[in-house]
Amino acid sequence: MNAITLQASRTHVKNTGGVAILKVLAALLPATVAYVWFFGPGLLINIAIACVFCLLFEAAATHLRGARVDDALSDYTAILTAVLIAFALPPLTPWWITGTACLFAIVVAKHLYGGAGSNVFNPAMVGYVVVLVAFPQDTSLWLPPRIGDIDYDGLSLIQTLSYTITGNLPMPYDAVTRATPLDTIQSGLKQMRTVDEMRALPLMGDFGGRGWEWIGNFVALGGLWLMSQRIIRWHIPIAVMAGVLIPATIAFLVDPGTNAGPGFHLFSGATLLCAFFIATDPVSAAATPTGRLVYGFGIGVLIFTIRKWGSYADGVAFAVLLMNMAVPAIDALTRVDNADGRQVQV
Amino acid sequence: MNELLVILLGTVLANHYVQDRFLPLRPFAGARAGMASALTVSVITGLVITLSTPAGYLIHDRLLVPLQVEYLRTLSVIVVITLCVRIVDRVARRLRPDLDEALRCHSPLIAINSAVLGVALLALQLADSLTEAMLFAVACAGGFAAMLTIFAAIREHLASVDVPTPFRGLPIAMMTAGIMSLALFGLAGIVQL
Repeated sequence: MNAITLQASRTHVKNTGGVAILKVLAALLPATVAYVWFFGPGLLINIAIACVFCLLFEAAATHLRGARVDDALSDYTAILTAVLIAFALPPLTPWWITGTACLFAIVVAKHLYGGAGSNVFNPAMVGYVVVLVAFPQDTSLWLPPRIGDIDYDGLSLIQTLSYTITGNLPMPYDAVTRATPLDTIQSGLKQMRTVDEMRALPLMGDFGGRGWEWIGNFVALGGLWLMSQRIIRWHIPIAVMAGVLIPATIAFLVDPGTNAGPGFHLFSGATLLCAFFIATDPVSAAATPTGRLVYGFGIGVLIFTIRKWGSYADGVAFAVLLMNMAVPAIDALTRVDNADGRQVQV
Repeated sequence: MNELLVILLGTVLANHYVQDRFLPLRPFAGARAGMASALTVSVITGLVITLSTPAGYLIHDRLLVPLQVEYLRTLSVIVVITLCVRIVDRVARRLRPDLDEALRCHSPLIAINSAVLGVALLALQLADSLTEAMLFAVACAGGFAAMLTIFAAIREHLASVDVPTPFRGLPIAMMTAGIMSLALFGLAGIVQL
């Protein structure tokens, strides 16, 4: 009975999806502008490529499954997946990497699992993790931010585009790319340097890395607007942030020399993007209020765990997938009576 | 103590032998869909793991090593597991007669369950004392139960959605196991045993 309630609420989400997803895309605009300002036009190129691939795969998969193609394309979910993939990938990414990510996101993670509204795993994160694990070299070309005293060798639109298409840069990689703040902290700690030393580097800002923390602000701004529009509810964003901040604060208080502060964890990498835009995907997230808190908190703790002890610099995509796979079990274990079941709607 | 904690957490979380090394493909595919069934299987398998691993460790440590016949360890562990499955099966049937049918179907599967053998053999390499072997077994049993429940819930969900016909059943279950392994990849390097 309750499985049906949950299922119904998911279908409900799908039917009203068009407008809601347009609002989610609009909420990402400020962060996109900030990203392009700090890191150049790579993101826009990635978004364009990912949109083309995602829409193509969406149309092909829908056609093969015998459904109406225009219906599937008009709910904009494929575009949101494309934008999230583009945000996850570095600004310098060869086109075929983006294409592979879109293939696994749309065809494998979404349509093999029954299409929009019934996928177990977040499609964008499946696509990103596949290319991250399969092509570590090609998914690590991060640029330094455009900020006063950092020797920013900004690539022009044409240069970025030519790299994306041909895979060749006009100058050596080392002159262009730079370790991300999370990479810097992680590898620095392995070389027995203290956090304070690394925080003094010009790459670091007030909380996270320079540039990065501003993108984080704009992501959070968009997320708060979505909350005020009642597109997303407070449970998951708050739980994800609590899941990162609580262990990070404890670790920082115990040993500030080898642990970056909680502010750094919140404003670095994709923590805020995950809290407001990735983990909140209504289809692959838990459907009960308690379940959402458990789901979000689990993601937060896993992000911190992977950053601190794991071998990947950021753990957002892995954390989301790990909790995605627990969602059916979480839903089954936190199922409530029908009266409460109504809370389930997003 | 530190070491024991590392073993406990590490086994449940990161070095998820049960999932990571593809040992459990068989019970995943063989277990009937449904959380209730998963619960039964994980309790019984967990009991077998927690019994057979320390027993196998003791036999290896006190019998095979002094006699210098360590090459018999796989054989001896298999014998121990078969005995443990019989014992757990008997006790469970006496305590819960309603589980009779479920046990008849699952017990032989558990006896040849590669996770049980894998954990018992790995404990011989990794554990330095009987306490460590026991904790290792409990951790693995816990991890196995969590994985099995998660997987059963996913399969229950998949049964209610419109998976393309060629992928229904086993293929989509294998795909799911694949994506789960990718996700567990993120935990690589967290604990070195």
